[in-house]
Amino acid sequence: MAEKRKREAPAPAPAPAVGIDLGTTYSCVGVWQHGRVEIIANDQGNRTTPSFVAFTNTGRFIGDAAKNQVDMNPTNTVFGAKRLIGRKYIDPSVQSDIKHWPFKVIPGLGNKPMIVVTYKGEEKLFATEEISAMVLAKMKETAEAYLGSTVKDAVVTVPAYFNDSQRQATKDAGVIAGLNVLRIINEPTAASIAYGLDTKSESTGEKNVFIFDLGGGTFDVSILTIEEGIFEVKATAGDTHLGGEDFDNTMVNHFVQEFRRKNNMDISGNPRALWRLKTACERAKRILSFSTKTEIEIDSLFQGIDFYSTISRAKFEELNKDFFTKCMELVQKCLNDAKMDKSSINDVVLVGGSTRIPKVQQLLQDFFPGKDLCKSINPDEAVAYGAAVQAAVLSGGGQEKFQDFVLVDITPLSLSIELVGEVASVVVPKNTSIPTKLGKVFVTSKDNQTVVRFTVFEGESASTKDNNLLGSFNLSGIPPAPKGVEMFDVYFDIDANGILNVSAVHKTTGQKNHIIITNDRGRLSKEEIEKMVLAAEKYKFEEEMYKKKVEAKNALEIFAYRMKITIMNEKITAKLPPADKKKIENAIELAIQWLDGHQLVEVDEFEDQMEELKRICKPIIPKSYKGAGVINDDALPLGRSSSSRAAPKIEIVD
Amino acid sequence: VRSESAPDRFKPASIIQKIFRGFLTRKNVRKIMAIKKEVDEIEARIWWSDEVAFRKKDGKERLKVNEMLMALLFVLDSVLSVDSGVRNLRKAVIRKVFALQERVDAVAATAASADIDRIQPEPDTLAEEEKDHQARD
Repeated sequence: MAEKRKREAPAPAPAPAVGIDLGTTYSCVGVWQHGRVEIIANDQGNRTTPSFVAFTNTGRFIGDAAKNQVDMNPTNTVFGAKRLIGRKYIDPSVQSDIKHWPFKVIPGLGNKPMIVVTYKGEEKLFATEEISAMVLAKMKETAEAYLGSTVKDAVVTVPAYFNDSQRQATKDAGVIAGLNVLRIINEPTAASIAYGLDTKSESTGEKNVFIFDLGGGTFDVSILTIEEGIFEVKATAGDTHLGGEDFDNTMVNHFVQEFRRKNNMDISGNPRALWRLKTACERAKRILSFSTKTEIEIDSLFQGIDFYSTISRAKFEELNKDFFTKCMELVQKCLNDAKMDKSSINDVVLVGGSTRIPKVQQLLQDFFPGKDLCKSINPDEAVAYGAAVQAAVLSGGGQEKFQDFVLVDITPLSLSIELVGEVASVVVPKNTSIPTKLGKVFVTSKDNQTVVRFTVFEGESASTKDNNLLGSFNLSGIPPAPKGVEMFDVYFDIDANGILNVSAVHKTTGQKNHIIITNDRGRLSKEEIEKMVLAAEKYKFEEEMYKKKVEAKNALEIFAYRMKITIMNEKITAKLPPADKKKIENAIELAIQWLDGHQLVEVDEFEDQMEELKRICKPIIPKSYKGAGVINDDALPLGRSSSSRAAPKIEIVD
Repeated sequence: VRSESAPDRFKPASIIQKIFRGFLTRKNVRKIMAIKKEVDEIEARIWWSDEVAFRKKDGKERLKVNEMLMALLFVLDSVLSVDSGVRNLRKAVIRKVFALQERVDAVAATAASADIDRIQPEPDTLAEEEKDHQARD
């Protein structure tokens, strides 16, 4: 809502701008190239990257690597940062989320939630923006690896219901990650852009689009109106804790009970068994999207007992019946909020992996009869796809077929003035499109009141206690009069940048006062961001240094052990003078001892040791190789073929 | 007419099924054997690094091995057994993964200087079992 949604003058951009879908559980990056969107796979070959960051004694992992080790390092693996970003620690949603997370969150300065982890043996505090920045940096690296050039500009998506501080915090995360965030756009808007619904609308005039986004952990529905390329968010609804993982969990519970029935044993205390079962359930769920029945076979699931079972699509649907019903209720709620009938919806867009579930599609199709569901774009990638298109438009890299986008936003929360007794009187209802100017008349509450205080809140509660205080101002010099006589016009003026100006005018005297509420509430200060940018660069540098050290260490280690095994091979050493053999053995032993004593020293030192060992071994090894009929002196024996794995210890296992 | 054609229809069906089952078995056995190879590599790596004992100091390496084993386990869980032969083969590899996991955990436990009795893997029995299955292929 903070963004000015007008297209800026296209600047010449050397590297293309990317579109990033920063998700709660997964993130995805895309780029416009050669006239189409390319979704970029990460170093693991996956087109989506888990929004996970893990800290260990030795380093930091982001993405797949972080998610894979969560079981072994739960307290230092951070996920779901999107649920925290731009929120206050005391926010009820933050409080309830924290209860379910294995990692620690504490209140920091200004009540910002701070994440506590142990990193390299030290306790460290991270702001949510920093964690999100790490995920964004990973997406940036992924894009850079693919494009072969530095990526600077990006369009990042956020849920339509994000309030201003959440948007600003996401933008700050981008800055910390070294990105120039061209624009923050709404996820449903991005999905509509992906399907080109904005361009198609030109011939038919106004168009209403329903976006159904059922992802891994969150469910969002939104209604957009597109007219001549202008997007307006009419209403949003959803559940921040409903998604694919819930479907997996009901299946896991079902099978845990089945296992208990069959074997009278409870596996729920064994994390590895549960993890295997959960993975198998996730797979089964995917299979059930195109098959009506599937099998689950897990050998030695628990105490050596095998678990074999089948599950049908019908059973899966029955297990998750309540979730599906809830989805459809929220669909109806969103339509009610937008004051629209479902017949006025032109297009229905499916986003999020769970929209592949046939039951979900069927329910939607039944709800919107005769409407085509937009599902041709991979639902996991649709948002990043649209963001990439938008990025191309903004950076001027796109083609002429892109028209100017003007995105109209809404106030995600109602804005109100406090009345006597902590009652909130709404002036700007939620889902009002901005810019807007709305007014209301208020009267004095006491006899002979000369000073009136106007306090501005945002939130949906009827009591200001539960709403978010934005600011207040006084209007004095009111002539004494009985209560309820003196009247004031109060105006809420929100501009395109989301800046709110609340003004009050005394009707009879013309006395006035106002307050400007900018959107930097709870934001990181410029200095804080700069500090975090430096820290992020430091972490990255340390990581690279660490990687280099590990590589150097491994190289030395592998070389030393290959030599050790070579020297133990009597075929090779038979023709070797005993003095030479002794010399090599000593050198290898020394190198191994040195490695034992030096965990991770500077790269140079490893390289020096390597040179030294090579120098000693080289004049001898090729000589003995020739004797054994091995010519290539680079190809050292171990690991080359099974016969060369002659180390006695290994043989026992083989 | 129907009763006459029924046996004729069974015959090709059973031929198709036979070939398909053969194909599935070969495919799955190949999958399992590929994983077994990876498991063997990890095993060699564990023996190796144990020798250096760097594992004890380097938690990252331990995590990595554990992560690789868990990933292989997930793949194994995804291989559907066509018959008991494939199933037994899969089971043997899974048991081997378990043995390795326990070994890694044991190293971790000693690293944390915790004195917990862990079941040691029995490489000899495992090796025999596998030979058995390989012979069956």
